[in-house]
Amino acid sequence: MSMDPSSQQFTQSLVAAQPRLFAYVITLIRNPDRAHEVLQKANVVMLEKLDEFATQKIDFIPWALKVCYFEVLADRRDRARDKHVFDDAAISCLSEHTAERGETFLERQRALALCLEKLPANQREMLKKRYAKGGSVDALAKELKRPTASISQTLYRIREALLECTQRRLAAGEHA
Amino acid sequence: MKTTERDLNPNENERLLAILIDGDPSTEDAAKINNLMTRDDAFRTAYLERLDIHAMLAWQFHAADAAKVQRISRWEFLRHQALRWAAVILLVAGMASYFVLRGETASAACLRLIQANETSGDRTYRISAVYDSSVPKPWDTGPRDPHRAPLPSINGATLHVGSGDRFVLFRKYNNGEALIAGFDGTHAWSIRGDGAVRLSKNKARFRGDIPGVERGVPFTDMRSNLQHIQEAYTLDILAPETLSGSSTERSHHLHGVKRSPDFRGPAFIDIYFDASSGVIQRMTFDNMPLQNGGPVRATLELIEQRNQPSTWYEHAAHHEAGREVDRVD
Repeated sequence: MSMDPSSQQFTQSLVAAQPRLFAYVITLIRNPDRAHEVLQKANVVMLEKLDEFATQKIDFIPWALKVCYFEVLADRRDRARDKHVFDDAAISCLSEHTAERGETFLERQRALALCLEKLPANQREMLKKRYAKGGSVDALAKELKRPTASISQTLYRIREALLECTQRRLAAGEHA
Repeated sequence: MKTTERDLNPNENERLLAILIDGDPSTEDAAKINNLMTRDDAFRTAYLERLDIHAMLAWQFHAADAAKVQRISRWEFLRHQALRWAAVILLVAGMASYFVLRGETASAACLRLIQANETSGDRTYRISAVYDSSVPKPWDTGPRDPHRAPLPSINGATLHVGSGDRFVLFRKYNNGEALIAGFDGTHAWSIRGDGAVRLSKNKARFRGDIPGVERGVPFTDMRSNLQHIQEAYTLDILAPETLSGSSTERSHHLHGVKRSPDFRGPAFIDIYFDASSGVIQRMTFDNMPLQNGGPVRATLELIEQRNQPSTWYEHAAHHEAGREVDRVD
């Protein structure tokens, strides 16, 4: 069964935007697993609004970011009993500034991949375990028999090195 | 008063940023963080930069669990859509050919490419390659094995591919001498200039340095090549685009980032394919491992789709009758 052109265009836009939307959500939520869950819910909401998208001339990315933003707020409401680090003002401020940074996500992802290639194998392995589904600093500390704070600091240093490398490559145009 | 990074101990900033990403801030730290986030541009920028890396790592490494995520996503999707609007139901039906969520989309695209390339007949691709000028080239320095002739540059070569993993690759040395290599479904063969035909039962014998993700020739054995791509790369479908010089209006774009250097192959792969037929229009291998002076970037561009005679992939179709044939292992 084939889709009509507007559904197809919508689906393509939605698929292409996934990394960028994920980056936006995780900035507000911090936890990768929860960010994935919220993004999935936002995807469903966007699909429900396909008609709205098809009948009005909507700029996809700002619209999709807004849907994600409301899903983040809904997630915070659903988890009202949990302790939230960011207050409403901080969430609103971060949302605005994160949306502005999203344009170059793909270039930054490519630069990061090159930097990961240069990382020592043991550090790469730590990142892989930290960022695998359900991975955590605590689990990593337990596995490596090291204090949680020490693992946290090591991860921080690795990411700092990656940030520095990524920025250097982007400045030198080495991501293309 | 606006706080600046200079007002705050940088170590304190670092501590707060580290806790934000990996830890669980105390109530006191959370208050500090919220204050900084809304009032201190430098702190907020530092947070966004670090979260960016955090996001990209999570996106990249999470994909290793893609199969699991896909199942959850699909289930979640179906659970929701049961109560939803007709438009959504239509879209779900459409998912048979065009999946909505990331991993499924890439998997569906790979499946389509496999099917299309098994049934789309003979195709011709032009190869363009970019080499690292600081690395010596085999055609300048000679091969590592002195008993084997050096290979010419792959840049400007023409690759013909057909069903059954058959291929013929044409390329030239700097002096204009031709090197033709192929596989006819049974034997691999190679002819240099007017020299003898070298014939082998080893399918990979004369593939040389044809760029690819595994040891196979691109477009041949697509099934195992694409299986490897799915395993070794984080795949995304990017927005369709029109390729310059293409007769196709808009090509779908499958973009892959290698998950780990432990896998062979280039750091990035971009596959553009015709939206309706699934035929690959262009394949780019970027940041290839620098081995034996090979290219750092190679692009294979579709230039023709034309059915060849059934004997065209045999060596005899590419030299005059009576040429000497050497059988090698």
